[in-house]
Amino acid sequence: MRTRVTGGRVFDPANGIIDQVRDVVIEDGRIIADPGPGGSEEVVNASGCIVLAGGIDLHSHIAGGKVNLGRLLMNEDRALFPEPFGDFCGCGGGRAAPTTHATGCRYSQMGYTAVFEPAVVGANARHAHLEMADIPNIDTGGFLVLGNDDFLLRLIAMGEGQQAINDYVAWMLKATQSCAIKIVNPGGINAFKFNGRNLDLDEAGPFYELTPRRILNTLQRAVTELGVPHPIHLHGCNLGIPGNVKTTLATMGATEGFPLHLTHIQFHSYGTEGDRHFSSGAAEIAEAVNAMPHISVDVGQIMFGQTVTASADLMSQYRNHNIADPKKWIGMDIEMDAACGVVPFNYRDTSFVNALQWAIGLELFLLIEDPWRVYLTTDHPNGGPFTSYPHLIRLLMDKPFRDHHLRQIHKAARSHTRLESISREYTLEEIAVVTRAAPARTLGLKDRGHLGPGARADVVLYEDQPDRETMFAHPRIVMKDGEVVVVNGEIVALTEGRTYAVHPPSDPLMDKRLERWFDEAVGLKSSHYQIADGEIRGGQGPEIVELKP
Amino acid sequence: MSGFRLTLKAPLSARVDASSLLPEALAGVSAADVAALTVPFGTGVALVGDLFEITAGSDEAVVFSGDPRLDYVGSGLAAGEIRVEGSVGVAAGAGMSGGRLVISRDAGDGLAAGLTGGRIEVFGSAGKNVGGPRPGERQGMRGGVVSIAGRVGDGLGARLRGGLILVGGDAGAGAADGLLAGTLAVAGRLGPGAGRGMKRGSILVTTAPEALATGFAEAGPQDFVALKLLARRVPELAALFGGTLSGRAVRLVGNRLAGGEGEILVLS
Repeated sequence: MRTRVTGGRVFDPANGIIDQVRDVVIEDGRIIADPGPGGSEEVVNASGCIVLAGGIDLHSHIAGGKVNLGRLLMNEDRALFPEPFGDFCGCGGGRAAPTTHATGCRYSQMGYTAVFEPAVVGANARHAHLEMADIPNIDTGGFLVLGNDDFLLRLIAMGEGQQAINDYVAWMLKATQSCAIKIVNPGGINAFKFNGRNLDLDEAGPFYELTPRRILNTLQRAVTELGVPHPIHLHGCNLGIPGNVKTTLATMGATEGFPLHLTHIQFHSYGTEGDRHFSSGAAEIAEAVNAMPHISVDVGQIMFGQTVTASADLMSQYRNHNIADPKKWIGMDIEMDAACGVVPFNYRDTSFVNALQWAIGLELFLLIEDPWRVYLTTDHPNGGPFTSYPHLIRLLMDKPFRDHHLRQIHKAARSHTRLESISREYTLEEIAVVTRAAPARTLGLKDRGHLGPGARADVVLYEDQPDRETMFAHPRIVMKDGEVVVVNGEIVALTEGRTYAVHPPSDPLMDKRLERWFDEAVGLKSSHYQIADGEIRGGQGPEIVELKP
Repeated sequence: MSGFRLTLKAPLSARVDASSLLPEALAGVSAADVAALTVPFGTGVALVGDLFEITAGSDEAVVFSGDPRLDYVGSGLAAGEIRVEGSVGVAAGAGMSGGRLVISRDAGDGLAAGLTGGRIEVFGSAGKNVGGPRPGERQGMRGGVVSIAGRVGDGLGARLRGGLILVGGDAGAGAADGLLAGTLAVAGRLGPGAGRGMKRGSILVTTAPEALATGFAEAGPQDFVALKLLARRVPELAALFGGTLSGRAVRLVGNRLAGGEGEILVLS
């Protein structure tokens, strides 16, 4: 079965195709080189539309323990946004903490076809995979959280050498079927368990006496030597603390030349200037990112309204629990290897701090020059639900619209931001980069994020209209692996996605060693901890991402 | 007259969410428009016209013939009146902020959950968790008046934050769980385990409760001028206890495990 998408303006920056009217031909779920006319073809008319690859969100908390705790805590979220009754829906719902079904439907209704869960804790990995398998219409993958787990800290503290660390990281990636390594507040969550309330980059933590810098560098080296395509996905120290811009700049300087991804950097770009001792550090951060080609970031833009923050960074969540709105929160340990804090937030444009956070996020988007190194995220649900992406895209693409919203935020915050003086507007090409091509490239997904021959046939047709928010909220057609799943912004079919993982090789001796460790120190056996390929998506197995040579 | 009378064509075979059928929403539309609306029905949706016979009402109110599967009647009501000639299902009047809801027979669980204003009158009995919090909420009913002629189930007034609940019959187990403020008045017997974690607020009863939650202390019989004032200001409260309040009551202070600023007054 061949399908020809014809007459649309194609934006495929990965292949250097910008705004060209051309056909995209699909066969058996893949894009193929145009074989010319002839043969039986189904023709999809894309005139008046722009044609993009399926959207990729590389940082969105959609599955796993803390997400489920978020659902538990935010019951009212589902009551406020119930799933519409109909053929494909009718149960669940929610915006800030949506059910799996609602997650898949809302994402594919915006033209997204792949979403990555950025914080899978080893002990919860099976749960995360079961939830990911339950999300329709999108491909998924998980980033494994390391950096506060006792086994790793012990290896580093005992000076075991890089090879042992590499074997452990490889073993863990395969055991949890994850596709990258995430570090959340390196050493800080462990320090919190020893009553530490903050831990700076070069401060030795309690007990193991390791600095976050050392943990970061060790894992950076491991990921690079193993050939994992995505660099360390770092949620750095001092999240949300005014003045943390210094820590963030120091972290960028601490990479020893290894590539590094700094996630939700908006929360790490705060200065202490002004009479309220809270100011924007976006300009300094953007300048540093522009100067360092091995750094990439995603923004974690905050959007006004009710949401719930769910993070493994219990240290910072504990700091914030007093400002929870509504007043309830959850904080817990997970198997002594990680932790989790769930705190509801209601970001208000009438609040100085929230308004400035909003402006800082937009400043970062607009001041970082290379769109290939900045990815569009709200750190769903921490900065705002992912359903706000179309609004965010319009804020980036439409200067008058942005200024209109800027005039409505807290007055003092307005005078603390240079947003009004920034005239940059994202082009469609840049949107295609930050939401598609760039995330695919950093994750090492060679057949995604572009429309060249061999790519997965995830194709989205957006009707070109001046209101970019409406445009990106209601695509005319979304195809997942060549199958039409959304028409005019409505779900018409549910398909099953796939799950990405990396399987770097590890020394078999590490198996033996970890078997002993699990017997001694962990609540379950190593053989039960490991997730077999057959457990992924009901027997479908993971899609293995190629390692870098 | 802009009101409607919605008479069920047959007993409901699945649960219906009637929260969208409010007087404000139906004002100024024709009976045919109402019939064309859809409501959640079981796991799908149904046309209002397929479930109900719709006729013009005699006043501005929306009048339902009841069914124990008719859920969320008057949920979110802000103004106007809804009357039910029969029973209703769960969550009647949940989140109501104003207006009036009258139910001639019984109400299911979750009556008046998260109520912030308005009046609910039930002439039969009510199920569990009357005036409690809605899912995910930290506080139960925060204002308004609920009056139930018959008995109520377990968990009456859990995390109540304000307003008045009047119960003509008995109350089930575990009433006033985590009650924060507001007033409960029970003319019948108060079930076992009442007042666990009760911080403030008042419970008025006529017979001494048998098995209160741990944490209450008897402060002896006292004369309360406030009770006489209360009877004058809130005639329906006085009516619940036979028309007058003597002003004399035994005061049980509690729950002292949660601050102990609340009280149970056993009227004499």
